[in-house]
Amino acid sequence: MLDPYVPILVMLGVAIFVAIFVITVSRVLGPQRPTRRKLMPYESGMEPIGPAQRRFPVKFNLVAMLFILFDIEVIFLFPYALIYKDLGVPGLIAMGTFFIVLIIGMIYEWKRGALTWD
Amino acid sequence: MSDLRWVIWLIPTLPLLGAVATLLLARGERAAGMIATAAAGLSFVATLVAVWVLQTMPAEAARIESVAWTWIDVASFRVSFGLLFDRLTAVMALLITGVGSLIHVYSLGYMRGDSRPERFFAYLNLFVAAMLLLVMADNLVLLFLGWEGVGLCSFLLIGHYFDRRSVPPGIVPAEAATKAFVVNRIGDAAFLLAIMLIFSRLGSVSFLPNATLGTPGYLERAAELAFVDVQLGPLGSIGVLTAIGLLMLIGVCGKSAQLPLSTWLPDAMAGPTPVSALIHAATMVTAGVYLIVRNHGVFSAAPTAASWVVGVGAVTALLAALSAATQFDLKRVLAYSTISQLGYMVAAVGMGAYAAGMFHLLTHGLFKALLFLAAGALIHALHDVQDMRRMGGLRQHLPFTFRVYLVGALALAGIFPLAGFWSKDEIIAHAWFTAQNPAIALILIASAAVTAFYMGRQVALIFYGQPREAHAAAHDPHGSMRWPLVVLAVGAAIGGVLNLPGVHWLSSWLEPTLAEPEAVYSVGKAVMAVIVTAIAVGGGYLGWWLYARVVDGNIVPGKTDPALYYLGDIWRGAELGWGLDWLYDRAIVRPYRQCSAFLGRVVDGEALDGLLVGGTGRTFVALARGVRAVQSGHARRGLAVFLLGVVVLLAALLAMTMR
Amino acid sequence: MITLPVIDWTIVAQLLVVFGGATVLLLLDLAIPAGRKQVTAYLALLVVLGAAAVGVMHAGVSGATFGGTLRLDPFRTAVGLVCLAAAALSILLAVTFLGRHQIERGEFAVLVLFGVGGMLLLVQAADLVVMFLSLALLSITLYVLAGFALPEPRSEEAALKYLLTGAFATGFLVFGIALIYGATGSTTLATIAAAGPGLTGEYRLYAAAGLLLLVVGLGYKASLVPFHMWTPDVYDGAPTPVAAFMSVASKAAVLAALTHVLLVGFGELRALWAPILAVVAAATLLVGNIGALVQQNVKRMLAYSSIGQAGFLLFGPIAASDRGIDALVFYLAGYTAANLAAFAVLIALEARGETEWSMARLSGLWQRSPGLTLALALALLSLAGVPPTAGFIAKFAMLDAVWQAGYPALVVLGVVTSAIAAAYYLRVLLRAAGPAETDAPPMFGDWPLRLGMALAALAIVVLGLAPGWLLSFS
Repeated sequence: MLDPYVPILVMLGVAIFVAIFVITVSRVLGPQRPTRRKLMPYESGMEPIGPAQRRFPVKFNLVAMLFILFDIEVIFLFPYALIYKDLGVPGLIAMGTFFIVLIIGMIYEWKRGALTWD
Repeated sequence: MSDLRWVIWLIPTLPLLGAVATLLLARGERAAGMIATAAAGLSFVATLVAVWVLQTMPAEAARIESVAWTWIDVASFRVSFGLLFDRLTAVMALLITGVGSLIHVYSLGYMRGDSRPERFFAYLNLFVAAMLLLVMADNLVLLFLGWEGVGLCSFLLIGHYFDRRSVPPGIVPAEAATKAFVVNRIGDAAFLLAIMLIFSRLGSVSFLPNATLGTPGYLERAAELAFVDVQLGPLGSIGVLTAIGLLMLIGVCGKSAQLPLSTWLPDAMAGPTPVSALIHAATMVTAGVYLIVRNHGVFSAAPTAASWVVGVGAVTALLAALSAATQFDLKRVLAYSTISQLGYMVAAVGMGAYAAGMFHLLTHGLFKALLFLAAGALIHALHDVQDMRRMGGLRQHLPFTFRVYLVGALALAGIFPLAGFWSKDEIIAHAWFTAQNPAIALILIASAAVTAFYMGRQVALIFYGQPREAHAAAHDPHGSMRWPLVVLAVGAAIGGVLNLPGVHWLSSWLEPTLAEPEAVYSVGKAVMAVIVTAIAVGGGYLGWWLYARVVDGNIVPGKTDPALYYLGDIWRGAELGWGLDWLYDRAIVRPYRQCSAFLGRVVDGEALDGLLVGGTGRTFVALARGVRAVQSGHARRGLAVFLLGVVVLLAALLAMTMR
Repeated sequence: MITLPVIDWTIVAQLLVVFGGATVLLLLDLAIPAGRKQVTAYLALLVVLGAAAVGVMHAGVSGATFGGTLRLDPFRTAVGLVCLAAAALSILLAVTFLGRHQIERGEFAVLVLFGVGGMLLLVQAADLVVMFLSLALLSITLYVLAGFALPEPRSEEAALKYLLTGAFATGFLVFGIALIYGATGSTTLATIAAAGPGLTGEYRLYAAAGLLLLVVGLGYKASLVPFHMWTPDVYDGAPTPVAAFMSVASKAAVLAALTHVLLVGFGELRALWAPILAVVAAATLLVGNIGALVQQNVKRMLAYSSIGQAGFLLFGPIAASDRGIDALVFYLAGYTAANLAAFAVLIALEARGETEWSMARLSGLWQRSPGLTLALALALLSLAGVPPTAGFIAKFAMLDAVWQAGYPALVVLGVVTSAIAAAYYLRVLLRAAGPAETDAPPMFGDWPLRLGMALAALAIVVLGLAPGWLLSFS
């Protein structure tokens, strides 16, 4: 009953085989004379000036997280804007509750100092 | 006098309240001892009143039932929290509260100077309460509560000296307590399965129909199932009642220290001597016998199970008696002797001699309590010496102790006309004449001879011969340790009147409960009694003569018994309890410890670590550990196991759907 | 005109109290000065009690709302009450603990409220999406709570580990929901059940695989083997009251959800999932109880023991009968009381800066505090299933239920592992009754802690002696 997926399985097998095959063949057949310059990340002659992973303040993460949180929640406004007439007063109450909760969260993070940089 | 029915609730409640009061209110050993003793004594009085109420009722309906509340009520599974006080229970309750009170009084003197008297007395009272609950329960689940309760108290009291590294003869109290508990759990597990089987097949766990709950009684239904089988899958099938009986037998083996679960009782002697007397001789260990008698309806309809009961009892009686004959520790002799006598009772009730079994249970309760308490007096007098090789010639120093000990020893050996003679003779006669099983009868007679032998040996080693150590300051007990011994000595001497041939007070008292035909007196039985007594006297004299006269000079503290020279490995085997401890250690305890240690390593990840990363990867892991914090390694391993689990489960699912 | 769904307010009242209370408390807490954060905890306690009162008021209510995605029935109410009781007791146990460890922050009580709200929602959920949502809600609060002892490294480590493995497990859960949706075209349990008989061929396989992955995701939270590896590390590292809360409340909620999924949604496939679940239960019993045997650290021992208890809890859905459901509720209640009492004793003995909770610290407890020892003894005896405690009745009812359902092997295994369990519980008690080995650690006995411990101990005894009223609720 999984018959339709057999070609995918075959495909996967072929892909893995080809990858291994190519790497192995080039390793076995190709000449290997490594030099310092060849082993550098960029063979163009650029000297690396430091590690690729650099530290940056964790505060960026906090701000980014808060941004995503509120950003996604604000997206709910767009569909509501299209149908707010149809929903009438009950819809307004529901969206109002949603926003009150959102604002409480906002107040909380503000008061707790999440928005101050230092 | 139905107005006084409520009195049965006082019987278990008083010692329970006593335990609580002792634990919470009592400060100091006098207060604790007084409260606890008063509670036990009042409970005895309440029992007497209840027995009197029972006596005023017509014999066919002589029982008091009282349901306090519905304990469990799930669908058809209904269990009451109720008591049943019939004639069988009355006998047990009298023994428990009577001997229990005496031992409480005795403990007042014995435990003087103990560091934790409040706990001791509280646990002792708690034990009495639990034991009473066990014999007064009107259903199996409540009985099981008492069953576990006495096990817990036994555990707590064996471990009373938990702060001592070892007590004579080299037992660690905390380990002995744990051993008793664990071995008992094996029996308990089987018993629990028996209860479930009873409920699922007989639809009730009440002994008698319960009007309050509307549940039927399972005992009267048992006979209907005599030919019904349970399927055991590929193993075939087995009769329902046989299965129930065998599972119960395993429970009995645990609680009443029958082979092969007997190993905990000798070690249980690590507890204080009054505890050995009350719990490990007179009452708790007889719970198994009581269980079989209470379920006689099941066993009489399951002959296969009953014959297993007889076999286990008889073999235990003989092998434990042989072990008793080889011990040098005062209390271990009595412990093995208890196992052996319990074997008599189990064999008796297995043969359907319920009244005889209960008779022996009663007389044994009296004379074995006497022996233990007298042994306690000895231990007290000699300042914690328990090794009989360090005694000898004590009858001049301790004339009173000698006399009561002699009464107990003669009663246990079954010498006419003391209590043990009548009860033991009745069991042997039943085996020969009624059950017509000469093999069992001969085993029991042989055990009787060995019993007399080891008691003669013990009396000789302690009281006769030359003094092997100076005990100039030794003196007889007085005060509260003295008169319980007198009472018990009188009981052990004349206890036989309870069920004299021809009169049979006990049998006819129990007749409405057990529905057992009355034993008939015959000339053959009298001849039998004479022969058995002659054998016992011979065995006893042999033991006394050998150890008081022949080898007296060869007994040296720390050295082996001279008999070892002649009997070799047989003697050694008996001395070590037939190697059961050794076997369990090798076959169960050590593999179990190793297995759990191994699994512990796997669970804690050591082995998995090796499996996943393998040999050369180890250095890499060490490097990674050095660089990173510890957590990443652990989390990764957890996730690997997680993923492996998902894959295995999915594969299982796939296999099941494809099939 | 779009019609809004009709909402049955009696069904959501409890949730509204908890979430409303939590939200308001979040604001109120900002106004409470730093030294007075106990006030927040007591207010949170009031909210929990209010929610419990609402639950008791609606005890007999059965019904559904929000298009059948939320349901209320006596089983759900009962499990919800167990969760609320666990939350209330945990707050009581934590109030002074937090101050003592200098981690008294107002968020604690608020997070517990949000967590228990998530649990209530999970219990009431009758739809897989709601289930996922509520599971995420309770998980996130628990992640934060596990790391609440910040900057204590062990606590941070626990939080991170919990988060990592939790995210991993959630992936399986969502994948499972997707597969089920693909096979049946719905995420509502009732509709899934209706689609069940029509499933053939590969659709049946997809549904079964989806169910399995769903069980994996939920089983992770209930620490079933082999998804249990996080449990000892997280319990060990998390602040002790948090470990107590996690070990009981989330387990109760998840077991209820699991029961709903299996019995309501996939009763049709019982022949398929019951044996697999039985194997999982057996593995959980064995690994949990054997693992606990070798622990020297009491918190890790309790963690392994809670894994073992989870195996027993699984008997409820496996039995798939009214009797099993009754037994499950009773087991949850008894386990909650016993585990909280055991953790309460640890809390009473834990000073600031303690890292390893070694068993030696319990030695000689009897001499110093018989009350604490009594509570510990009651708790451990109940966990071991010794009568007359709640644990005995609970184990008996569970064993009876699986026996009736035709799993004698599980009954035997349950009895055997209980015997193993008795060994390690007794070992702790022996230490407590024995002589002191280390310098006496300090003891704390303020009234909220004592009250919480006493209530839990009382529940163990009451449930053990008079279990009838709880055992026969359905």
